[in-house]
Amino acid sequence: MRLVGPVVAIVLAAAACGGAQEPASQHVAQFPAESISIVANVDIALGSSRLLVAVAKGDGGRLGSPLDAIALEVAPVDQPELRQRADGVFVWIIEDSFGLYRADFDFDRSGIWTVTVVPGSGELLEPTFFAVGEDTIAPGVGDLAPTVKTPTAQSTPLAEITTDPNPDPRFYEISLDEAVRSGTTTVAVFSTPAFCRTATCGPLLDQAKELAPGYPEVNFVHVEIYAGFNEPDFVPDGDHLAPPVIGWSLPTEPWVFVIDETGVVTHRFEGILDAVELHAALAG
Amino acid sequence: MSRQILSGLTLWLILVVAASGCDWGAAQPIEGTSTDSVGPTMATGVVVAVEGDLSAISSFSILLSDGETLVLVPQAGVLFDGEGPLSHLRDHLLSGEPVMVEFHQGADNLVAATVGDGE
Repeated sequence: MRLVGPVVAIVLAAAACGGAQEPASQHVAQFPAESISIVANVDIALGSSRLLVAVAKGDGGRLGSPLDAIALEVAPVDQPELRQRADGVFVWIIEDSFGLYRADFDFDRSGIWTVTVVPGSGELLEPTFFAVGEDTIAPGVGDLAPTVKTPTAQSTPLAEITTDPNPDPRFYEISLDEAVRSGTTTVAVFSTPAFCRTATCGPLLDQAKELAPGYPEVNFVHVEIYAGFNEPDFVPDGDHLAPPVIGWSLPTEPWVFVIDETGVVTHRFEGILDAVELHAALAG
Repeated sequence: MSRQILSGLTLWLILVVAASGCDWGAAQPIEGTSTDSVGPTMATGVVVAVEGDLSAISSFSILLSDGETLVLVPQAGVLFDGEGPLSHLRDHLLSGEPVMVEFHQGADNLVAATVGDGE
């Protein structure tokens, strides 16, 4: 992560030397020979799934930026000829600090797949393995959203509902089960800001809070990952998962789900959220 | 008198245990890691894989600065920095921020006794 700044600076300097007529979007990404790729999401299954791929130097320092155009190629490990290719869209996790690439693929068979980062020039990165399941673990696109009750500010103080230090009351006005049945689009954010030390998952809720005013007709519901976080003997482990997290079978956190007016999941975002994605989901 | 003998025996036992503890450092020193004379091995690296779910993390892998990868199984009850969920390792998988791990050689694998931020 510390290396991203200098790398971006070098990239910008190189772009400047290359001539002002070259648009930034045509920058040719090239990564050091020892670079690796890391698949950063888990719940990938048959059908259209979003793949998150981080590019890192040999010591793990993150590489990539919006200026570094790359493609991602995926293929079943036993049938490499069936590869698919898509442009990787860079998403900042922390603006101007570090991020990763996302791309959507249509996975037509379950099993072990590989993803290869294809920079604009230079060597391809070594393929990285990941698993494609028969079905998603958490609710998938097209599934009915589970209806699980969540506490609201009407009956519970905000400090007992959320670990967000700056909670937006709008996110605690309606129980998730009521929101799903309300006949209105719902954005459900599952995260636990207090236990996010690296600020990787905190921005996801903050992003949703920033977007919410632009969608006054949409239900926004924040759901904590753990229950009982105010109790003195609380431990954030598997025994303290909140009922909605269990009801939604979340394998990881954070998550954002978009549920349409009929209660069907239309979009799902694991790990990070690109504001562009949520805007597109709500516009669609 | 007997109390003095007991104290002496206790001291002797502590010394013996401490001395044999040097041999208990079963995890071999690994390039990119640091060890103290009697304790388990410390390593700092970036998370490259996490297995398990919110209920339990079954294993995770860290990449050391020398390019070596350690696969570690968390000891039961381990929390991140002693107080956070161990699933926080996934945030480090996303961000690339390093983690520091104290581990020892178990019967079949490396066992992480503590896990925390690397910086």
